[in-house]
Amino acid sequence: MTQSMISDSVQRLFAGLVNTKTLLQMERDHWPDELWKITETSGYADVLVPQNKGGFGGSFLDAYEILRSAGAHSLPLPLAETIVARYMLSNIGMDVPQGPITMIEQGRQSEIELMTVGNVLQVKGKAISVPWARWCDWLMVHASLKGSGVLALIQIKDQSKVSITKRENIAKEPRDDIVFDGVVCSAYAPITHSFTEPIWGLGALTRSMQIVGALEASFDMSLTYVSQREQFGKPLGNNQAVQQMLAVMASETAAAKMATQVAAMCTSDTTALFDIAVAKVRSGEAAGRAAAIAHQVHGAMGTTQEYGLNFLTRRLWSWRREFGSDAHWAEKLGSATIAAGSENFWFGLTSRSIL
Amino acid sequence: MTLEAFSIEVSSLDQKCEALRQEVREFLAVHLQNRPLREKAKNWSAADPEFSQQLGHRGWIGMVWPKEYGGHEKTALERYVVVEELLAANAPVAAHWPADRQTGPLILKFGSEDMKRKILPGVARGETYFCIGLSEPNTGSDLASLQTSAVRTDHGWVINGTKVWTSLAHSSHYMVTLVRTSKGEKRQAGLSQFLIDMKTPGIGIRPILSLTGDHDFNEVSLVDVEVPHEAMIGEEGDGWKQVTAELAFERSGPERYLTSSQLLLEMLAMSSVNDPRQAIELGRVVAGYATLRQMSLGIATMLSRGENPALAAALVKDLGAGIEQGMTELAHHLFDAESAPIGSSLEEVASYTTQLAPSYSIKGGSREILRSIVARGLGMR
Repeated sequence: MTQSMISDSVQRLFAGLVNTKTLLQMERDHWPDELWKITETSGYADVLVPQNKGGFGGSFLDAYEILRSAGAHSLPLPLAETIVARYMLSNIGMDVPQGPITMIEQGRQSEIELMTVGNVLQVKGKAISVPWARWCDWLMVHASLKGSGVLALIQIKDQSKVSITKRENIAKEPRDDIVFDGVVCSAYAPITHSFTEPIWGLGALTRSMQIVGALEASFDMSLTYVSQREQFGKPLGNNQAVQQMLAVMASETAAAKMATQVAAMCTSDTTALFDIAVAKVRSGEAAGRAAAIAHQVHGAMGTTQEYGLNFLTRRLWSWRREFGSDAHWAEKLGSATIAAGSENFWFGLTSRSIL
Repeated sequence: MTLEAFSIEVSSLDQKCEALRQEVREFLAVHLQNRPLREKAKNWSAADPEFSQQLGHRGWIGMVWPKEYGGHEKTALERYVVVEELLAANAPVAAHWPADRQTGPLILKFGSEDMKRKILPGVARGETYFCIGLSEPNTGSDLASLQTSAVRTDHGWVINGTKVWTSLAHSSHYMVTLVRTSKGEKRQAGLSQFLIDMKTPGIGIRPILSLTGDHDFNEVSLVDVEVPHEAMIGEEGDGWKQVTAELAFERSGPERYLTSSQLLLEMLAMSSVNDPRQAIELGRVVAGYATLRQMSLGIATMLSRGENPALAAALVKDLGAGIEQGMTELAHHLFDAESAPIGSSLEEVASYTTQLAPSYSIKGGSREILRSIVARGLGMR
C-alpha cells in the first residue's frame, strides 16, 4: 500500500466513525469501545510492527498518514501511544499484546523505580498526565534497571496495585495520574535505542503528526467558513484582512508539516532526536498561532460547543503541551547550541547533530 | 485539499553534496579571514568583485548551466549547498548574486543563442554583473503599472523612463529591465524584457543612500537609450510571464532566512547554557532555521525538475522574513545595554541588522503582496 492509499482509507474510516456525538461521549468519560475495536481490527495500530510478527511492516511516514488523519478527525483513542508501544515492543522481540497501550518515560512526568524481586520485576512510584490510562489494558515504561535501559510492560486494567486518578487535558482526553504500588511487570527486556528517552521522543513525534492533521483540518474549516459566510454583502474571505490571516495560517501549517515529515523520515538516523525536537517546537508554535487565527475568522460561531472547530483547537492547545512543550524542546535545542559554541552552529544545523 | 497547492517535497542531500560542502568550507576558511563585522552583517548585500571571480574560478557560479555557455552542469542540489555555505559564512556575494540566481537562468531559458554565448560565460567566471530594473518611482508592488517604454525603430528600440531601487546599478555591466512595448487591454500584456549594456549613452545613475548610510540602491534614468533588436529577452509581450517565473528563484533561496545569521552567532556567543530564557528563545530560532532550510531545499529540488513552486516560494519568503526580522527583536529582548554595551560585537551587529531588517519584508516582494499571492493560491482572490 502506498502512503496515499493509506491516507485515503484511514480518512474514510475515521470520517465515517467519528462525529460530534462520539467526541462528546468520550468527554463524558465513555470509552468508545466499538470505535477502538474497528480501528484495532483494521490493523492501523500495527503499522510499525514487522510483517513476520503479524504487523503491517510500515514506516514512520505510514504512521504519519494515519496519525495525521487521526488528528484531523480528533480520533478519541490512544492510537498514537499504541502505535509507538507496539513498535518498540516488537522491535526488541517482545510479544505485542492486543488492546490499547499507554506509555511513560521514567523521569518525565513520573517518579518511578524498577526493582527485581526474586524472578519478577516490580514497579513502584507515580506518574502524572498519563494519556488514556483509565481505558488502557497495558502500560509500557522505559526505565533504567541497574544502569541499563529496559522496556517493561505492565497490565494496568483491574490491577489492585495500580491506582488511577482521573484527569483530563483541555480537549477532555483522559490524562490520568497513576500510583504504582509494587506492581509486577508482565514482561520486560533490555533495550538500546538510537536516542535517549525513546518514549518521550517518539511520543513527541506522534503528537506533532496529530497536530499537523488538526492544523490542516482547522485550516479547511476556516477557509470553507470565510468563503460561505457573508457580511456587508460579500463573503468574509473577500476582505484582504481575512485573506492575509489565512495566508499566515497556511504558512504555519506548511512549516509544521515540513518539520514533522522530516522527523518521520529519519527516526532511525543519528539525527532523529534533533529532527523530533525541531518538529515539536515548530508544530507547537504553529498550533497556537493557527488556533488563534481559526477562531478569529470564525467569529462567535467558533466559540460554541456545537460548531466543530473547538474539538480541533482544544486538541491543538493540548497536544502542543504533551511529551514536552515547544518551550521544553526549544530549551534542549537552545542549550545544546549554546554549549557547542557559535562557531559550530552552522555545522550542527547542516549535519542536524545539535542534539 | 487546497493546501496541497503549497506542498513542498522533503528532499535530502547525498554524499556528493556533503563532500562539496567540505570543499566550500575549506575555501571560505581561507578566503574570508579578518572581515570587518559590519561587512559580515551585510550578508549577501556585500559585494566584492575579486571574491566573485575567485568563486567563478572554482566553478561555483552558473553551476547548473550547460558547459557550452560556461556552466558546469552540476545539479540544483549541489548549487544549493554552495549557496547556503556562502550565505552562512556571510560571504560577499552581491556582485554576481542576481546574475547567478535569476538573470542567468532567465537568459538561459528565454535568451537568444547569441545572447547566451556572449553573456553567460562572463557571468560564470564571476566577471559580468547584472542589476535588475523592475520598480519605478510610481511603481512598487503594483509592477504592471510601470511606465518605462520601449519604442521600435529601424535599428532596434528606444527606451525612456526611470527605474528605482536598482541595487548595485553603479557596479553592474548590464541591467535587465521590464518595460512597456505596447499598450494593450490588459496591463500585463504589453510588457517585454531587455538586456541593456550599462555603458549605453543616455543612462544616468543617481545613488540612493539607505538609512544605514550604505550605497546599495540607485535611481537609473533612461533617456533615449538605443538598444538593438537583439537586446530583447524572449518574445515581445512575454515580459510579465518571464518575470513571474524568475521571481520563484528569487523568493525561495536560503538568503530568505539566513540574512540575520551574524546576529544569531553573536547572540549564541553571548548566551549561557544556564539561562533558560536564552536557551528557549534561541532554540526556537534553531527550529525555525532547520524548518526553513528543509523548505528551501525542497523548493530547490522542485525547481530543478522544472516545476513551478511559485506559491510555496512566496510562503517560504514570508516565513523567512519573519525569522530574520524576529532576530533583531530577540536581541533586544535578551540583551540590554548592560549585557551588550555600545562598542561590543553584539551591539554593533544588532544595531546594524536592526536598521537593515525593515527591508527584509519589502525587497523581493512585500509581505502584503506575498500573502496576497498565497491567498490567491488558496482560491480566495
